Amino acid sequence: MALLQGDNRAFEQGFRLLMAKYRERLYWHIRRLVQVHNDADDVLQNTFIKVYRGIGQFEGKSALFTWLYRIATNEALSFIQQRTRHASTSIDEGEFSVAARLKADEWFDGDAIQVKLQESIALLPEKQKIVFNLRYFQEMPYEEMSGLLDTSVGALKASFHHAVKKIEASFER
Amino acid sequence: MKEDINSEIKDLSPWLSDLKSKGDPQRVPEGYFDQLESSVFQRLEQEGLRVAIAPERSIWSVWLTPARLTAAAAAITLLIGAIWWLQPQKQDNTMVQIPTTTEEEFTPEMAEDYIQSNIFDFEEELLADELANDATEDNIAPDHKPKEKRRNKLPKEMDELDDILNDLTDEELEDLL
Repeated sequence: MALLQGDNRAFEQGFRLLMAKYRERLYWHIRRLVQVHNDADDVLQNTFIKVYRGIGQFEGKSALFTWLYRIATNEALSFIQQRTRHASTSIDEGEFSVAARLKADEWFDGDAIQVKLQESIALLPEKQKIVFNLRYFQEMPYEEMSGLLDTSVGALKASFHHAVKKIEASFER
Repeated sequence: MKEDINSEIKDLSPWLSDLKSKGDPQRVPEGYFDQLESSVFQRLEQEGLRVAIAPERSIWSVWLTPARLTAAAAAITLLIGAIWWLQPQKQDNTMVQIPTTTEEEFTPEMAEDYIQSNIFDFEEELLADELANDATEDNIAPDHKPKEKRRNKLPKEMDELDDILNDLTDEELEDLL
């Protein structure tokens, strides 16, 4: 694999190919978690920079996308945690609310119900949030998700079921 | 597979299934993915992380180092010198061609006309050579042969020839021819 070898030109060419192949899948995975395009853009760039720096540590024990996906997930979750901490210390917490951010995002065209759906998803536990996004938006089969998240298909089905019920419950309130 | 997912969602929550069928409200700016690569590389450079890549060089720029260029120039110079040195000495292209003709056609008037019209092309030494050759080949018209005693006076040494040619009048030259 050229990316793991010493030739700088081949390395960069390989990295460009990697970006071209996985950028959209990774973007949408990140976008569902952070919800706003500009944030997704920042996180995706951070992800690729981490990949660029760390590709030498990729041992090939998992599929390349699984490795990329884990880096992207960690970056997105770190970003959300930082944003939450920042919001908790801010005078105006309202500007950090999901609704406020989606309203400010010119790349979100949803109505009030879709904003409410995004708010409900944001309140889910991390694992359920990820499973719901992968299943509901990205329509990923459980088998593929199982390899990606290193979780059994049964546990994933249960997570999705719980996530759907929590979202429904949030709308009934 | 997609149908399985949609039917699963419909079974779990018809309302969420309906909402999903309305489409995705999240969009991406046009051309975003195309410019992502340059954005990432720009950040890598800003953060000093990009590996150094030497600019692409053609095979000529790789091969033609200053030392090799100097050696090639020296070799070419030597080759040209050798060719020039070894080639046989060419005859001077400026040599005046004495018109060849038959005895009947070649008259003194023709010779004089030819000399007058080409006088500036003549080189004295070459003219003397030609005259000397003509004398040995004996291709002068019979009526001009009596002038042989004068022709025999032509010196072998070229520096003496200059003086003689300067002293020659047109009539004498005509006789000589």
